[in-house]
Amino acid sequence: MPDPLIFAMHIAYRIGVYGIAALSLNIEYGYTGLSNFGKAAFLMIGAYTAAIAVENGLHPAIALLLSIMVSGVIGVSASLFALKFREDYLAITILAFAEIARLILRNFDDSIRALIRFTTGVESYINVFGGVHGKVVRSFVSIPGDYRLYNIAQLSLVYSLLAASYLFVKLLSDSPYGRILRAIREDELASQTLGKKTWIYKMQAIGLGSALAGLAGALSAQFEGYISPESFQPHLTFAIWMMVILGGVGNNLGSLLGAALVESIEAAALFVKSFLGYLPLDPVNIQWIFVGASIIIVVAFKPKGILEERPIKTPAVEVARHGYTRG
Amino acid sequence: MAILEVRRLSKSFGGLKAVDSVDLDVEEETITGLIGPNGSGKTTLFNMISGVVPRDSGEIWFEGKRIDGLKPFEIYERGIVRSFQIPRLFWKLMVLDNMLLAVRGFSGESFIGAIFRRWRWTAEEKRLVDKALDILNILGLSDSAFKPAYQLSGGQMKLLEIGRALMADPKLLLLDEPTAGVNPKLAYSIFGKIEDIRRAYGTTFFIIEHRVETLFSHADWVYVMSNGSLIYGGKPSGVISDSRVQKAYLGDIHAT
Repeated sequence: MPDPLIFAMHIAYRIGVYGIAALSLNIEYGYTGLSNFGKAAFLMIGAYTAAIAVENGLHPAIALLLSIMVSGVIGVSASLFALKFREDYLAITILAFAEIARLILRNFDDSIRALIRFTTGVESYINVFGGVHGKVVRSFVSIPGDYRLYNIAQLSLVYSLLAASYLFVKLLSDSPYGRILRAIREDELASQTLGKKTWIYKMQAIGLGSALAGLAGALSAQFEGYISPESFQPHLTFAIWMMVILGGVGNNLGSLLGAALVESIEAAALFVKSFLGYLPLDPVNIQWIFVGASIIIVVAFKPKGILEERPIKTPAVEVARHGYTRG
Repeated sequence: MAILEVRRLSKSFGGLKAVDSVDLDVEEETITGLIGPNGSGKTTLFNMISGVVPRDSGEIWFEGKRIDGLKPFEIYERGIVRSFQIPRLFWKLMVLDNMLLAVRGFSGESFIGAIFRRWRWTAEEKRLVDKALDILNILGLSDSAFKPAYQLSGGQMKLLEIGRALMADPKLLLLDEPTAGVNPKLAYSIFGKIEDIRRAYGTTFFIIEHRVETLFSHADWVYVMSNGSLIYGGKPSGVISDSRVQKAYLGDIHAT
């Protein structure tokens, strides 16, 4: 019988991690209107970067920074190709990119070994990404013995980074920069005729989104302790999309709320499975029905999501608005 | 002095010659009109001047420098701002945000600037908000400043496009049918406001318009296009009596 408190902490941790991931998609889709259907790949890149970094004895903080940077840089490079396309093509291109990245990670080690055996005849034991067997990831936090204390330390790590990410995205979205991102979403051509170099903003949005996704991936990997390419299949991308759509597209708090909702539904299914004993069917299979149903209900009654997008709040605009409503 | 010179400018879409070797000049600080039947190539000409559509051949000169082949944002940087026939506003954003988006060289618009120069752009934005509210006041839109753009009426959307363009301090404003779908009274007042703006800022206007009588009472010079070619250029008073213009609009009355 698992410890319910540990179970609850685990769920809380996942809500924190996917809150960061949902915020990152909110920058890309919510504000800039870029349909990034390759989110899972950027979490994967962050996760593997962190895993390899700590494996080679780097400090966890450096591993986190590396994850953010590598994921961000790969995001910008992917966008160089993908952003040439219109919105619908962008979605499918970046989805294909994500699948290619996942298959490369899965087959890289085997292919290199085969190549060395074929060219030199020597049997090698190269092991970079672990292939289908995945990779064990050392935790960033080490408090041996006390599981609860360990979990509390983990939770404070993820929630302080979530708070920092939220503050960062909020500052950015409530600024003239965020205003341009939203203008690109509304009408890219009009933005260009008003002198905005829209492709730079789109690249930056994908870069920022990917960097934050890398952070989420790294945090997730070190907590779960094990990663494999199979953990980053497209349904992870779709789960993050559901968080953003449920919570409210273009609303940062909404993204966090969506993450909490989707993760809670998953947790409820796991809870039923773990604590209620024998059931005629596997509750984990029903969780997607619940997630799907909640999407339909929310979209039917609140098409803009639970929390709607709010006007841009910069200090000068706020001062003018208050003067206006009073006068 | 001509601020805008167009030389032998052509554009084809498949077999259709949308703009066929057009030559025209727009003099500084004038209101220059461009009229012509539907499909005569007026908007395509504007699209080429503003860089939205690449030209096939020909040259465009602005203030003595060639601007054909430049990207839309580069043409904006030279001082040409345009409006669209069907307004292209940022619909979900507030009217005031729409205005602020047209500003040139705003330090808060870069990623680094937005994060690290918060005090600086806040001070800049205070001045810009004042300027935007002044322009909205001239255009009679101050009551809508904090509404989302999609809540405006059709005529107000047209006015907001003009107002947004003015935020960029343009030297040349290309207006594509500023009074389309607007009632005649508001149409007159839009042109009255265009006159006011020219007087106040010395802006040059190049205007596509179907409301010929309204345009003629304000324009200094008029060009007429038909089937991609320029068929008239001169004072508005001479347009009505020009036989080629009559033919383009009414058909050949002597043919039977």
